[in-house]
Amino acid sequence: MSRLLTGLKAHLWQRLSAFWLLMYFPLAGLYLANQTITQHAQLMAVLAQPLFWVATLITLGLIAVHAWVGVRDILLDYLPRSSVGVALLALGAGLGVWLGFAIYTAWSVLVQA
Amino acid sequence: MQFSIYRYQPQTDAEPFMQTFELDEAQVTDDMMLLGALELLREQDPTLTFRSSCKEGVCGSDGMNVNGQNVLSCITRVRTLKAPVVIRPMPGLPVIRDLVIDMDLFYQQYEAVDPYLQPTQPNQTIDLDHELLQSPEERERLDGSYECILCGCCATSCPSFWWNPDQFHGPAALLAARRFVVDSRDITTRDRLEKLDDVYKTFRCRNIQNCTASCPKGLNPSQAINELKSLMLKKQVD
Ligand code: SF4
Ligand code: SF4
Ligand code: FES
Repeated sequence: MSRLLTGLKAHLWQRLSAFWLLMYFPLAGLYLANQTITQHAQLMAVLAQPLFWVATLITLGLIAVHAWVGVRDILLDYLPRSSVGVALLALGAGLGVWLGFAIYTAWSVLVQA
Repeated sequence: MQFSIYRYQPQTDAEPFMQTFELDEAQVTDDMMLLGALELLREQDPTLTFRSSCKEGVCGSDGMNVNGQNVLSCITRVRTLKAPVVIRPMPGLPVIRDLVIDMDLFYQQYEAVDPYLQPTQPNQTIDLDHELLQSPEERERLDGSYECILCGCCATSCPSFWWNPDQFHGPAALLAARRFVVDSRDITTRDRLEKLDDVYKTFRCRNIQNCTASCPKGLNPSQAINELKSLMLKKQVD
C-alpha cells in the first residue's frame, strides 16, 4: 500500500490537488452565496448545475488523493514500522468508503434535481 | 570553562549520563578549537572517547552535537561557544561509546546511491587511451556536491533520517546522488533518477533544511534534493 501513488507522482498530485482545492472552495462559496435557496428542490437544482456538479465531483476525488498522500506521509514518518501496513490499509479502506459515499451522494443530487 | 559531556559505555553503564569537566580559563586560548579542549579533558579522564583524525575539517570523523548543533570539533572555536558547553554524540544513530556513534546506516545509504562514475554500459570496457573530457561548465555543475566529507552532521540532524535511517537515503547520500546525476560523463542518469523516485528513498525529505544549516562545509543538501526532484520531473516530461 505504501507504494500506491509514490515518489514524484505523489509529490505532483499533492501539489495539483492542493491548487485545485484552493481554487474550488472560494469559488464554490461565492457561487452558493449568490443563490437564493428556500426549498429543497431549489437546492438540488443549484447543486446539479452541470459545471458546479462536475467540479465538485473532481474535488471529491482530489480530496481523497490529497488525504491519501498527506496522511500516508504522516503515517510513514511517525508510526512504528510494524503498524504502518495495517494503518495504510485502514486509511485506504476509509478513504475508499468515504469516496464511495461521496460519489453516491453526488449522484443522488443529480437524480433528485 | 565548564563542559558537560555525554558519557556512556554500553558494556558497563546502565544508562548514559552527563559528566561535568572543567578547564582552566588560562588553558583556553583564543584560537583553540574544541577538539584541542577535548584532548586536554582526556588527560583528566583517559576513558573519555571521541573520534578525530585530520584536525583540519577534512576527514569528517569528529562530528558531534555541541550546544544543540552538529559541528566538527576540530574547526569549532571554543571561544565562540556558550559555557557550559554541552557535548553529546550526534543524534539518531546508536552510540558505541561516549561521543562515538555507529555510522553503518549512514554509510549504507551512501553506498545505495552508487556513488561512483558509470561512464560505460556494464558489459563495455572503458577506453583507457582517451580521457573523459568535460567542458569547464560541465565541471562547474559538480561544485557544491563533490566537497562532501561524509561527516554525517547533516543526516544526524535530519528528523526524516532519524525516523527512517534504513529507508530514507538522507541528505549526504542524496547530495552524492545529485553529484553523479548531473555529471556529464555518467550515462546512467535515467536509471539513477528512476531508482531515486521512491516514497522512502528521496521523498521522505520534507524540506526541513536542518541538513543545510548544519553542514560544516557550507554545502546545501536540501537544494540538491530539490534539484533531484525537478530533474525527475524533467525526465518524465522528456
Ligand atoms: S531538507 Fe530534507 S534532508 Fe535536509 S534536514 Fe530536511 S528533511 Fe532532512
Ligand atoms: S553534506 Fe555536509 S554535513 Fe553532510 S556529510 Fe557532507 S560535509 Fe557533512
Ligand atoms: S578531525 Fe578530521 S574533520 Fe575534524
